[in-house]
Amino acid sequence: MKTVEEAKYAAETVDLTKVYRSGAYKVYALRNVNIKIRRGEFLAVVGPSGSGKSTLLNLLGTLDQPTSGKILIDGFDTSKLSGGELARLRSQKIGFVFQAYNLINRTSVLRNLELPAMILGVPAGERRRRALELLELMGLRKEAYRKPTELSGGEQQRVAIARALMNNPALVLADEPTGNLDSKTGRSIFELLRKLCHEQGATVVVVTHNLELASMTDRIIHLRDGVVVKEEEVKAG
Amino acid sequence: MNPLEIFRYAFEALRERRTRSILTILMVLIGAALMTALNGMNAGMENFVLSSFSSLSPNSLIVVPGTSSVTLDAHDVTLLKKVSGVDDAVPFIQGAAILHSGVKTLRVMVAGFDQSKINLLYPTAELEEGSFISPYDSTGMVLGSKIAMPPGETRPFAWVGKVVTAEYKHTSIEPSGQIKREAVKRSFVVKGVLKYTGAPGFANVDRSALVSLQAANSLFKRGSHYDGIIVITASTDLNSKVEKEILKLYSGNVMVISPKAIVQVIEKTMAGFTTFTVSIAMVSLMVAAVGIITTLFTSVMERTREIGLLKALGFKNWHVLVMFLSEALIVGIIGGSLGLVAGYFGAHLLLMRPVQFSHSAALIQPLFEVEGLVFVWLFTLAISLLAGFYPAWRASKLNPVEALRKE
Repeated sequence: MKTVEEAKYAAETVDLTKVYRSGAYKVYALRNVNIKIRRGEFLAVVGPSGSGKSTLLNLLGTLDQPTSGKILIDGFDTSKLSGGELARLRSQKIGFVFQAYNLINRTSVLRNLELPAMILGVPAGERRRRALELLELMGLRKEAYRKPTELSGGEQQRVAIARALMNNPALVLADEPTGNLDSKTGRSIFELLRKLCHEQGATVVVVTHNLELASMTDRIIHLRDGVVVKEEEVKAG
Repeated sequence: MNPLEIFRYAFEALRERRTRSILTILMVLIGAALMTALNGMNAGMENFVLSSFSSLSPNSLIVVPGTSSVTLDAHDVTLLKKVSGVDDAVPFIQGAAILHSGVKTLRVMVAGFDQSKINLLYPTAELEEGSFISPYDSTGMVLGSKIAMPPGETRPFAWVGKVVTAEYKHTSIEPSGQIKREAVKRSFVVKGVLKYTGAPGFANVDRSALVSLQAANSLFKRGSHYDGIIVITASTDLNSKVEKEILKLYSGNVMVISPKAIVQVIEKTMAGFTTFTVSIAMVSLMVAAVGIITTLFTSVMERTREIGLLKALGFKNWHVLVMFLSEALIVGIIGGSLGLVAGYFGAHLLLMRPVQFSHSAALIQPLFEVEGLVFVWLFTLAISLLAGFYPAWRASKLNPVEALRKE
């Protein structure tokens, strides 16, 4: 197993295959997918629905297990890890951003941010400092003690992005992060993610079906029927 | 992750569903309160009944005629004294009579026996003032404390030196078959008043008027036949042996009552009664357990996406398990603790009024022991945890991908 320093890629898939069985049929959600995600890269995965985008994201997030092939997160081969070890890996190395934000509405924005650090066992003072720092970065410092439901959709998604960054993950996975937002707000979210990659050194994989937004990333991977059909580098600008 | 953090998180989740959580806690509270109160009241009741009987000396046996053809007289006293293991035999005559003192009347038990032997029968009896009466005194009377000063009265019913009249309604059957009723009246001088013994209920010396054996014989027209003879054994261990001897002596024509045997019967009966009532309380805790299961299950359903999120953020299965068990435990702790307090005060409140018996009323104090309270508390917690286990286990096994997808 490689150490963090040696790992060249934030994440890497090797012949990744996921098969769903429905009765006598075998459905290939993903077939021999090989992707290498560079550190600090802003990567978009696009494709029609049913192309395997979400499956890929769930596998990269170790929420689901591949049928065959393997995934390396920051150099760690996830196929060799137990359920508990995977949970720890997710806590340390992976940040999630969801279409529906999935914030916990009964508690404050600040405590939502603290949650991932709490799971990792970071002391209270330290995680509070980190949470406030991230809120500052997101321009939401004033909203720290409000409930998520009191914020706009765009603001809630920014809180969710801040939460994903709490533990300095190697990889941030965003599943249709702009799906619930209007196009202007969606664009600002993409600009934020892009800034985080290029200025903060985060690595972000975003699944979207919005090609216009996808063109704001560094690279676009096109999926169709579980196979990578096209990879294109996006020219800056 | 620090288990205390999980506990705090669980508490916040409970607070979010305030009404439902409070109702579940209430169910647990009722179960625990019921168990506490019933335990305390049963223990109080048992204590009360036992103390009533234990006021009689444990090494005494009461011999009474077993059939109407058998009579007991002075000859039997001599006979019983000769039985091996018997220290003494005290004959007695007793009956209910109405006592008149001035314009006041009181229904009392009048007991006649040799008062020099009072402490063989009632080890705790003592004189407050005056003196006991000799076996040849046919007009002297010693009053129990509740007769001299009836509860709730401001002035005494009678005092030392006071003349009182005892009235007894005698019923006899004439040889012709006619029923004859006559009122027998005898005057007595109060010679002594007993201290309050506090021994309630049966054989209640506080509510008795003590006279000499011959005075009782005259009042109740017994014709020198005793109502019974109290046999004092050399030691409690000899009770059953002496009892057998006496039964043999009279070929089973007498009854031998042992206060100790009565106490044992009461203990057994009360134990059965306690088991019965406490099992009712346990049923109510079982209902509370089902309440916890339902509440937690609903919570798991509603929070499926949250569980998915927590797993994505790095919650291990056991974290989820502990989180929901914590919710069950919090419900148990709050419900159990409040239930204990409610049960404690509830039992006192329910027994605040005196319990009415045929001749008297008595205050029964509920009795609580620390071990009993701790048991109820821990039992409530255990039931709550047990109830929480299945929903918690189901939550911990949720697939994060499916959980996150749930609307």
